[in-house]
Amino acid sequence: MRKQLMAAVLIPLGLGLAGVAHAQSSTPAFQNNSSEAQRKAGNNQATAELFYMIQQLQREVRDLRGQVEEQQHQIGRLQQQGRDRYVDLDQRILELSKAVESGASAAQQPAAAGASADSGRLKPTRVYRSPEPEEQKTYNDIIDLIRNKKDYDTAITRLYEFVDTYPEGDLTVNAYYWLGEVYLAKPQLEQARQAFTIVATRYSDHRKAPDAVYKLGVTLDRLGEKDEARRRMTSVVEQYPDSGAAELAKKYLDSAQG
Amino acid sequence: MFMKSRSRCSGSFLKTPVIACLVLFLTASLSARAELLIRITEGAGSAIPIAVVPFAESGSMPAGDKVGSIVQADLTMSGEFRPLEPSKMLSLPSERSEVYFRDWRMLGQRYVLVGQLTRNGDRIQARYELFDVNQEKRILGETAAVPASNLRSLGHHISDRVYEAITGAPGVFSTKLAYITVSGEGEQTRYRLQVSDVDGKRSKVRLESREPILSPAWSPDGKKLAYVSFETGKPVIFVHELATGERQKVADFPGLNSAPAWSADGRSLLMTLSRDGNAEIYRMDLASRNLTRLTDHWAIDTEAAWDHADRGIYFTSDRSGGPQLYHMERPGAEPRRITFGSRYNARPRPSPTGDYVYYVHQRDSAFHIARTNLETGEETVITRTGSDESPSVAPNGRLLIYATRQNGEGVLTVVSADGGAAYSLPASEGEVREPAWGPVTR
Repeated sequence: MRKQLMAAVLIPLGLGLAGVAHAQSSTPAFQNNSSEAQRKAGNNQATAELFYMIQQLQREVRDLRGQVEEQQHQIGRLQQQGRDRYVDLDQRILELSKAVESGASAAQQPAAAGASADSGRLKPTRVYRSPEPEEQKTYNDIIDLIRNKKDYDTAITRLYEFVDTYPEGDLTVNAYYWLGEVYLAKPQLEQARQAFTIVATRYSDHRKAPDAVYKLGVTLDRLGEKDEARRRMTSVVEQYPDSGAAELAKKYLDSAQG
Repeated sequence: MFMKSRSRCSGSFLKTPVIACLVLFLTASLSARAELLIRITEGAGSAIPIAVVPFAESGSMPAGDKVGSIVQADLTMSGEFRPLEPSKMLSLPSERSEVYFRDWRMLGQRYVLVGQLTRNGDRIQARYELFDVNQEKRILGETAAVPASNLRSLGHHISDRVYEAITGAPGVFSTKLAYITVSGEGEQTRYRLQVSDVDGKRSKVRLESREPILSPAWSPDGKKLAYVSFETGKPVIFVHELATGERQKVADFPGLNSAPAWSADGRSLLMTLSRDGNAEIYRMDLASRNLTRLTDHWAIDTEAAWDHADRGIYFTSDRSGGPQLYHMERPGAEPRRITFGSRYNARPRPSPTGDYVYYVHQRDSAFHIARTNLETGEETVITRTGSDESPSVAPNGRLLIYATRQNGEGVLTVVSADGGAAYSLPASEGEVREPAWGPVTR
């Protein structure tokens, strides 16, 4: 097999060299050279050397390829292990803190609510269910995932779980809003559009609604639907004139016009 | 060099030259029908206890093994069952009214198979019923008829039905094995391509040659075998129609022609050819004989097999220094390496369900059969013997046959796919190697 291989490589190589030799023979430097026989001998030696070099290079390339493949594989495994460990650790911390909380009295004020992304100034006209301590805790964990750990994929999963477990609450709307934010950051714009639309239409009286409509506008802008985006921005300014979102929307509209 | 080139020509990364294997343990006598003898070496710990009651018979029955004992042997062979010896049975019922579940429960049996055979002219009819002892329920009740000369097929058929009723997976007792036996010495050396039942019985020689025969591969309908024969002095791929004995030379290109593997539709063969100067994998459309080249690398690419989806291929390549397995997701895609555990992994055989790939794996200078879980990448060595080669997976994915050496002789060994139970099939004389497990045919 090796022999066969060698022959296969040698023949085209020999031909190639002959071609080179021809080209060179037209140059004066080569003509100055001695007899035909000597030239041939030189050619043969060069061919053999080149062949040897190619063999060496092939061996080298193979070894390197092997190393690259193995390292790629190891990196893949390490990444997976890292993710698995993180999820495992997170799970354990969650369980631990749950145990601590249920140990303490349940009279915990959701003071942490301020730490969440609340920027709404509008008074809700509908009364939303206030969160249970555990609900608040889960929510805070997710926000932490997004803000500090930037683990968006896990956050998305946890947000979906959250809206399933705690439907129609004050924080449910926040969760939908954050789902939109995370998708926007990834960016998965279609999903972001859906999440913001839920808040903007289903919970238009919630304090998160102005932000959601504004972000919906941003998402649409990024999706290239400029007219649609402008329409949302205008509606933020008109419907929620006192909100921070209205300021931002105005800026958008101004810059879009300018 | 000649020997080396030969073993290379087989298209497999054989670690010992073909010829070297032949010299050992040869018997002088020649028989055209070297039977495989079954030898169970290990039982599975979690085997299911089942009582296969000898079948009642009315009318004259052909001599030879009884249907009941064939079923019993089949179930034992699978490693998943532990049949009760008939001598320990308290009664020998042949139909439901005679089955006393309490007795069987006392004997620790989970299932009871009863049946009766009736001679009807030159045919034999069987009625058989399978009972779940704990639930006192019949879970199978069927009839089957075969020509009187074909009692073995009847036994294997009943085993298949019982196996499927209990495990949910199709039985493989009616399938066939193809393998190569080698006997004789020097001028007398003969290579034979043989086909037998999975228990090694009813073996038939399909081809005899003075020159090596390699890599038999079953067509998906079980009617044809493709193989490499050196009968013309060089490796040539033939397709052999079993019913008629008709043979066709399908690949006789300059250089090597080796490692044939069928596509699921039976219309094309994968093969390794060096016609373009280097061993590459090609697909040949059998009707038109058109070739499509699937690999393109100056290293050796060989031993291709379709993946279970019949879309991509697994193959062996030494492009990273030593032989390793690669998966090409679809023809033309960049091959992805799938084995990393050692310097030598070759001859991939994917499981029919697509969850594992089996291959020859070197560890500490011994060669084993290993498998890799394709989802997790986890590698498990599943054989305990040390010079193992040529794995072939049963069509239900539950058993695996491979060639190895036992007490210095070349034998075939069957293990459960997770490495549990094992039985070996030594040739009654000479060497046996290169097994290929046939498909389930209806």
